[in-house]
Amino acid sequence: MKAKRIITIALAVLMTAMFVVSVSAAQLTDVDPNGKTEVTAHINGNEPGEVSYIITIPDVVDFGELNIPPDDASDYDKDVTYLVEATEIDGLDPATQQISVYVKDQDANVNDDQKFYIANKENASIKFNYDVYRATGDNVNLSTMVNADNMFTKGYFLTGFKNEGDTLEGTLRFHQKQLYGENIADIAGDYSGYMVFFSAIEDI
Amino acid sequence: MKNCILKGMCIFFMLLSLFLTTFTLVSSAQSGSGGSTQVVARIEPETAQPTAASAQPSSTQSAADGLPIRTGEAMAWFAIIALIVSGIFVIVLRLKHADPSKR
Repeated sequence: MKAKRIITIALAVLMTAMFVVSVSAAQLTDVDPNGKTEVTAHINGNEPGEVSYIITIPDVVDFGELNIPPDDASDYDKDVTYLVEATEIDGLDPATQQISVYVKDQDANVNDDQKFYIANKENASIKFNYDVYRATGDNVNLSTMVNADNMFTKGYFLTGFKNEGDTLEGTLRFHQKQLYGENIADIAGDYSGYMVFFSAIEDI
Repeated sequence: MKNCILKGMCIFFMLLSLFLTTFTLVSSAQSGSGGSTQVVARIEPETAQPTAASAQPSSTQSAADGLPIRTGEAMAWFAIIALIVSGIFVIVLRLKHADPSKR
């Protein structure tokens, strides 16, 4: 009787331990010290050599403190970088395929407003837009502006990854000029928005 | 009566662990092909006007800088794990303090 009891408890502990391991493996965002969100996709196929990949995107991109500019003569841009990485790619033929990554604002609509916004957490009607670039530094210009391209239902095309380890370092640019003339008391506070990423295997 | 309760609790936690393990594995496999990144900023009240020097693009801040972000979903999982482990400990302690005459 006692032996049965001990065996029962041991099985319960074993099942719990298996569960803990599984949850820990899934919580990759907490293990990664850079605070990244892993976008995981598995394309299941019956043929050998099925493609699987993991794209890593950042959890949070922080513009920091935004300021009302003294005039509207300049954009008073504030930039912050972000990194998207093809953490794992398996079974992909880089000669004919790529992992395409798209991005859009969480509320963007291909038939309506397509801009990227951050909104006041206290009053969502107060919002300001920012631009997304697929480059950094001196390469930030209209030709590398993601949201200058056509937007699809999946979002704006950001980049295509062909090899494991490929990265894209881009820039988010906030034009503080749009704060000019605003009443600080009305717009002060915390702002938040979401960039939604979508990935898919596409032929090139 | 006590043995029935203990057996029931053990079976419950075993089934719960099995269910959550399966659910986690299935969720991982069906995590889909999308995700989101939060973009945040802050406007301080009564902020000073930026100087002309800040008209130039400010120094970039890498998204890699900063502490790991723990989502609400992760905290919920931790709470469930803590609950299950606590339950196991309760069962073990009750068995240790069981009436010796009934062994």
